[in-house]
Amino acid sequence: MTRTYEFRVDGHLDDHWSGWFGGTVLVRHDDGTTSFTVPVADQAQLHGVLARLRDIGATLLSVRASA
Amino acid sequence: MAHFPAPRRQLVARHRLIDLLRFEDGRAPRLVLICAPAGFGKTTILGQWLTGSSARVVWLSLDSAERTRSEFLAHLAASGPTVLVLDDYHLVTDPAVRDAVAELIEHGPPELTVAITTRVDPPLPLARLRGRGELLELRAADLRFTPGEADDFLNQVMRLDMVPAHVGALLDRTEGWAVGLQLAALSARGRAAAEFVESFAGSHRFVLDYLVEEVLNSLSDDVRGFLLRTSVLRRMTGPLCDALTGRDDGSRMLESLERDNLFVVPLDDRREWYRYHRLFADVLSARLQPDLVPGLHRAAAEWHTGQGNTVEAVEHALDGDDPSAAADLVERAIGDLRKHRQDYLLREWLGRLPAEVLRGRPLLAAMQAWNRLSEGDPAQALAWLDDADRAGPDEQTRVLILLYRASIAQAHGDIAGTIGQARQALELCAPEDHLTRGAAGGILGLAAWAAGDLPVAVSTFGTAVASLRAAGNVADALGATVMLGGMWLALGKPIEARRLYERALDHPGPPLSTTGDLHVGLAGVLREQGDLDAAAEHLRLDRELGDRASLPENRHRWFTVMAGLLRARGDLDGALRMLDEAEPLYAPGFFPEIAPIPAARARIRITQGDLAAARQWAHEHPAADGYLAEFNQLTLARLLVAEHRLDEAVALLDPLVDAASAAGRTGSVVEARMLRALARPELGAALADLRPALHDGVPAGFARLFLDEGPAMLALLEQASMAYAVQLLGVQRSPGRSAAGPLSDRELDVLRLLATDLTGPEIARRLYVTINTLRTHTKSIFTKLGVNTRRAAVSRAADLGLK
Repeated sequence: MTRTYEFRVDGHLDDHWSGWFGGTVLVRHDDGTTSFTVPVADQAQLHGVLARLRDIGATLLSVRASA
Repeated sequence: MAHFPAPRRQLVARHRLIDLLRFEDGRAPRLVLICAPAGFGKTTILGQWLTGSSARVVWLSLDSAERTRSEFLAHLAASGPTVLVLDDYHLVTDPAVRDAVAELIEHGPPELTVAITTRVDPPLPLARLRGRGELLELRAADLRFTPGEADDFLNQVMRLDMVPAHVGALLDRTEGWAVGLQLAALSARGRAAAEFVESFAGSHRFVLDYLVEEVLNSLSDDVRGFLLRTSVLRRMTGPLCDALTGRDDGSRMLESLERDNLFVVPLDDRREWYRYHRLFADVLSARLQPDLVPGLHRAAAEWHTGQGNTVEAVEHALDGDDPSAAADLVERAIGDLRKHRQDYLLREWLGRLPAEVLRGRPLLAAMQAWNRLSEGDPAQALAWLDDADRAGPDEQTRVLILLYRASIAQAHGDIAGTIGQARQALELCAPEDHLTRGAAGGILGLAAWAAGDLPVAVSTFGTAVASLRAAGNVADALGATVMLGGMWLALGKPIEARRLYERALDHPGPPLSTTGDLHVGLAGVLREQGDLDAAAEHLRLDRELGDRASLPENRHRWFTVMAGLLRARGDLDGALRMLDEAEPLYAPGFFPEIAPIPAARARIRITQGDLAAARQWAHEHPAADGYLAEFNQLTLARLLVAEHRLDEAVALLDPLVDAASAAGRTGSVVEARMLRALARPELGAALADLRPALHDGVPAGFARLFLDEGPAMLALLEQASMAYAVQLLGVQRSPGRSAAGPLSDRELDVLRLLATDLTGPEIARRLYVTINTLRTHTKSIFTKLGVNTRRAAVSRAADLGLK
């Protein structure tokens, strides 16, 4: 079952990272953070997203499953 | 792969961290763990530390190619390391490799230090290691640059002219992140520091995005284009880069990138191969126009194909979305992959190719069948084999298809089908195709075993093992030796089985996937010979090696051998408990079931005098014919003797003796005759059966087979007036020992070193074994020479002329 997760990271990510996270729209907030949502089919895919954030050295602030 | 990275010329000396890695007594702890996100300078600090240390270093950069346990262990076998570096350990996903590393950290030689860099905490017992003071860790907080280090780096190494306020602002903005500071320094070159620092500090942009863009903007279009286009490469060399850029300056470009500190890492001393720092490659490729990517990968695939680098060519062809080129390459690579048992690569590659591409290619369809077979899906495997046949296979591929069909028939217990297909495969395959000969011979040998034809089983299987060795496949050859030992035992030659196991265990290097199974096999033979202490020791050794050194289909054997050991020691309840443990571990379908566990349990019930329970077993397992029913019949014969239904026992045993004699199964003949002796009420008739059993059985290595029968057999042996009977009674009186066997080659190696002044740990290091293994060898030498000290062993060896 597909679930959608919202990720929030520190700093404003440039748009070219969108492809890394399945072509999602990156929303840059005034508080200097970026959020984006990714629909994931299973937990393995979720961990894949987390590993990508890890690999570019981004600081992860929160992950939230949305309804 | 095993490359010690040359330090880049411009580095900050981070004494603070190097000092942390220095140890009070000059000894390194068991594990050095450097754990931090990308770009924190983990590899650099490890390199600096080891450059200044006198330790011997084996450096493994764990790229994605380093994925299997056997490849990984091969590195260790060749090295005998002091500091083993596992760089980028987070890339290791194979649980078997992770287990091997955990094992090495827990039980490796005492002088070994494992140093790990990783982006995630590794699955290791860190708390325990920490508690024992065996762990030294550096984490992100330790690796962040301090104000002093940042100042050193920016003003000394990078020769910028920054006031402390600028240094402080950069440090704040990058939070001491090494890669951030380095990019900042590159961006700031040739510019007014104040302006650069101010606009960087005032931006919300992700540090990497901001700085990489600054750096790229400062470069010429040529250099920028070069960086982006080559970012798809796993490793780079001038001509390969040229194939992607359409230019001819690749080599010069790489050299100047290295000189300018632009994140290339040389992979050799000749400045031939480089790779990008991984973080930088990721950032670059994210910026590359997506529609360019497939073409770049295809160009790389083509270049690697021309160079004969098949693995890299395949990976690029797959990344370049070019399935037919990839399929061509995979077909060419299969021979090597099979030989080196790189099953995982084949599985991965075939999994990435569309099914319709595989169906049109006989060899690939056949290999996909094999993948399904190893995943335990014979129905899918058969469907793929049908596809392969339809696609018009050549002769070699037909041999493979036959082989796989034989394996499937074997898994279904279809002996005729198994033999038919395997014979056809053998007839078709080329004489020098050792791998196929080994596989087909193995299948035929097992089929002969299941049919009770042990002489043929042993000779076919023995040839198969030799073929596997000739093909360079040691792991499978040793695995097959476990089975071959079982066949020799069934053939009635325990000593021959022992010789095989001992020779296989002499194999130098690290434990393989079947080393533990060999220990268990040897324990079984030693138990049979009456050397119970040595049997117990080999069971212990197997436990020490853990599940890694044992195939799942062999796991129940430890418990059945232990049951036999406890039985020999008179602990019948313990033996039953062991059989209870063995039962759920037994995996049917791999080997002929020649000693069913319920029957083994019934034998112990009979010894206990619980004839009702044994009779219950007999009801549940009605008599059948043929070799696979023999163990049950021999069990039933014991029950009949215990129930004093002696005529029925003799009537059951008579045809059994005849059938086993005719088929050359001496082990069964010995056992059946011995039992018939117990079924003869008259002494002369009993001895007439017992004497030939002793004559065939005792010199071949049987002892417990007789002694386990208990008081009635011991009384017969007392009256046999035969040297073999006296020998058995001697074994019964001192159950720890058996007649000493000859020293193995490995034991002779140890003995030679025992005659020197080297200490135990020094000898262990010299032979690349652990102290525990050395102890086992030493103990065995002492037992065989009948001595208790090293000095006595050396002098006894001299007396015997052993060298």
